Amino acid sequence: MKVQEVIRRVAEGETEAFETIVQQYQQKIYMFCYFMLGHRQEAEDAAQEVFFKAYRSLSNYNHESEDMFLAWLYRIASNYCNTLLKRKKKGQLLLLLFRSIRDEQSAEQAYAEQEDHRLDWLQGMTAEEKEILALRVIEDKPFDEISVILDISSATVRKRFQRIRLKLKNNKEQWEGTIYEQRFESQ
Amino acid sequence: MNNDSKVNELIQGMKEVRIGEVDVSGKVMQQVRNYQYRNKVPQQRRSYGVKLIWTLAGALLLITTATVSAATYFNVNWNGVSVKIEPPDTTVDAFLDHSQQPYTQQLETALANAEEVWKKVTTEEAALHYSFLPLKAADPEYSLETSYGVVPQERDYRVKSADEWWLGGLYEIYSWKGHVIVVRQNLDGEMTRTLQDPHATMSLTFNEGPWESIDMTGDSLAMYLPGQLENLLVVKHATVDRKVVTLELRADIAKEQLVRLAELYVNTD
Repeated sequence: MKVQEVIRRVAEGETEAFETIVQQYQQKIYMFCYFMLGHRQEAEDAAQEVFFKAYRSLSNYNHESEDMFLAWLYRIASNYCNTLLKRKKKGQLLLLLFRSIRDEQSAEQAYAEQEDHRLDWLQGMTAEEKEILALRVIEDKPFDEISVILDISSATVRKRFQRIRLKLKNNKEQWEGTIYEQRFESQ
Repeated sequence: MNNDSKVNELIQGMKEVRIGEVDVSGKVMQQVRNYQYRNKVPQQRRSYGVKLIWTLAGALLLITTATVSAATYFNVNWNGVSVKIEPPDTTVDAFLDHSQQPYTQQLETALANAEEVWKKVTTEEAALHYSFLPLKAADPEYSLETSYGVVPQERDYRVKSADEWWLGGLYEIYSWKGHVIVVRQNLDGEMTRTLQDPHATMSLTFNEGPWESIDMTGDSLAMYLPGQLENLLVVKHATVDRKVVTLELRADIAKEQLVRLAELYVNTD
């Protein structure tokens, strides 16, 4: 079913038609939220909230194209994840006081965290930089086309891309340094 | 290793992460059903766009075309527009303004965070963007501290989500007895069209807040919404050239004072 058709049906009171939209786009939005937040459960909760927000704003969406609809969902997801990240940053200091909570993670969580170490390089990226990378991976489109999804100029995307390159260089050096230090300690 | 290959390596790493399948459709639909039930969202409703809506504290101003089914405790016809106030859901306090910052600060933050979308311009420049004659209030009691316009970087810009503020309009910031009053005005395109077209119909519903209708002159419709920090007065004014201008006045002052300043504006038309 086409998005416009679903929107029309929802507007006419057929609420359940919205489920089609959720099922169609949930995996992409979940992945996007995961790359933004770096945590599976948080990403799942965020994806849920993104679709609920989309539902409440559905009457404001008036583009014809399906691609534009996905771009619109990404914008909602991006705004929501940005808000969460800002809140998270504020709460980091408080979290340090309750460090023992981290020790109580399940084996599944521990495995997931181990798995996600390959995303350590994402640390230090701003939300705007993360969203470019996330869309590059999920949509598999060049950076220029990502500017269309994000509704920003390609010059801005290029600028952000340059910052990513620079940060990755620094992050990698830091990361390699950390590995070396850990190996040294284990000897 | 050059920087591009590091980017490629990271992207490859991201692609290889096994995130797994997720199904949030059940939870989302449950949330949607609860929302429908709680808000009694009317059937056959069509919004003309959130761009004229300032989503202050979840207070929603919904412009609709068809009859609403939810209970209303205010219903009046104003210049061909059916205007209603829906009773707020008293079991939730979502409509209350919980912001701990005055509106001027919220506005500055919102503008700073949306530099790619909005730009501040002089009132003269803004006049080139907006097709209406701004209303003016002239009273030495209210000292005009600053005035400016906010226009979108792209002329046809539309907001992307309900959380995004539509910042466009003409702003005038006054000081009055130690209080700061912010007045924003904008052309209400949909109401203007309805006013000018005898066959057009529309309705305007104020909901999700304890809105109160305020008696003003025959050419103005005014609604008041109290907040925890500041109060809001929304005025729809039909000008002599048959356009509808929306005035939004916000300050931590009494309703009567907001109404008084609003009357200064509409009486100069």
